[in-house]
Amino acid sequence: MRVLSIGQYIPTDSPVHGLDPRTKLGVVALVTVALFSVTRFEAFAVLAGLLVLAVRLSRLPVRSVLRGIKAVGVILAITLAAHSLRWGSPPAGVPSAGSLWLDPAGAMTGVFFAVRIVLLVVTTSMLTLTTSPVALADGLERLMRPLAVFGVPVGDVAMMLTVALRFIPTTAYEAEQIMMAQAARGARFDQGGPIRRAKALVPVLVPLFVNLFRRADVLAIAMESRCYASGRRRTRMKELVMRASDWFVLIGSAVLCVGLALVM
Amino acid sequence: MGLTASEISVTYNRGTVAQQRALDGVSFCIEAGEVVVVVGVTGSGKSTLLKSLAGLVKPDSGSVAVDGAPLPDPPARAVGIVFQNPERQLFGETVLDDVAFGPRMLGDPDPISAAEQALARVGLDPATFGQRSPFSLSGGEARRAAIAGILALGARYVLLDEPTVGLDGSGRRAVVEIVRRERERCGIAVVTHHPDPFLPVASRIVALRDGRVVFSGTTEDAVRHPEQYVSAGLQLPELLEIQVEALRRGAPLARVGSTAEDVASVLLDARRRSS
Repeated sequence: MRVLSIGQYIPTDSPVHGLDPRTKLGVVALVTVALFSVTRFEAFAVLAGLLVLAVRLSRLPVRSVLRGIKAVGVILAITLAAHSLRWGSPPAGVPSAGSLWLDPAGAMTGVFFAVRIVLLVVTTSMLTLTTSPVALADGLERLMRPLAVFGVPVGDVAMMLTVALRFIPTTAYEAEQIMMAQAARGARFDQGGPIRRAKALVPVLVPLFVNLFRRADVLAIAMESRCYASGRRRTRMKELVMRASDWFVLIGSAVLCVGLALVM
Repeated sequence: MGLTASEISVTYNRGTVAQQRALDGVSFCIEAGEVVVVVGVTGSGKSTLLKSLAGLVKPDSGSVAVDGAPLPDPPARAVGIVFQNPERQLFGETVLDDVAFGPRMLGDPDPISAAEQALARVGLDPATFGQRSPFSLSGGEARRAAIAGILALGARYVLLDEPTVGLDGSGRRAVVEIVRRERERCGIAVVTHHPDPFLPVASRIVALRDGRVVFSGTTEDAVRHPEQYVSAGLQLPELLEIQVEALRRGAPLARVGSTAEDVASVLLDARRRSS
């Protein structure tokens, strides 16, 4: 659970942290589209350069940014293996072990997809590491506001998102505490096959969910006691304002990403 | 011998902006039959000390030993730890089933007997409570059931993290009574923000500040030299504070009391002797 970067906001005074959440959401959307549109490694190099610049400007520890990659390590390994390993009689001159052989062209494709996944994870990690959950939900609410015309309960969805994001670290901490407590009673979570490991999680998941339901109940009562009611129009204590730096970053990213998608 | 920590240091989130030194060269010991009360402000390292002693947090430096040997793996047979709000970890279909979880994990040949004995030791009749759902227990009963879950392991040392938090008066008294009884079987450490109810059973008090031990002594030491205890950023328990004040005003206290009745006797005795 500790390897998950999502939701783990690290507050620091940096130009990236200071950007409007809508700008950061827009840039993530643009980079994602560019990552899936480009077909050449050179385009990845340009996007990676952009990310390195963003990480430097964010003043975040590089280790925190890269932690998200660890979480998708299995996916990366499967991607690489699925593209590069072949079964059957190997052609001459390729590395092989029995009937298993390495397809050099497939390996290149595997590396391409793996790089795409890494860049995608780093991009989304940068969003959550530099944007507080509340700011993120505010940004989403503002972006979704036009949907209110079609009867979408934008305010409630935003509140749900805020609460869900806010409780990710709390839930992770609680799960860790329960795991420790059950480990103190002799439970082992790192032994046996997948089924045994899944069974070993029952003593963690049952109390975790019971506590989550209890907390949700208390939170709902606390919100209602402070006059929260579903569907009501609410004002914001801090209204989001797009500044010149936000427009610069957004337009710059749009030009770069659209250009890459069209050219590469 | 005993459960000992020698010069242990623990740092969380090393190498990140959230890096935090939780323990800084702490040495600590519990002998069999002792009750050591550990106090300190929030963030002073109390809970980390307990987790280190239970083998759940690995110190960056220093070592933990139990009766002169390294902690066994798993350490549960030697050291049991009861976390804050332990009732939140109950998950079994019945109370008996939940308490038997630990012995079952450790391969105990008769986990149900171990669970029944542990329930009886915390004052919960196995016949009455054993088949109930743990989620139907009151706060105090659930706390005792959770403590029974650790006692059932048969550990030689038991560590309790804030065992009375959130309990009413009778719940607190029940927990103190468990500590009083269990000290005959094992060494106990109690981490608490409210040491008062544990003073009558405390062999020693240890105060932490910023991950270091700033006071270690008996209630007598705390009253005779309160400046060390207070340097942990804490107030002395009221019963001890009264006796510190009495000493400051010149009362010739022959000894230090740790219950209301005892303190009253000590003060009356001092008055008789001074007049």
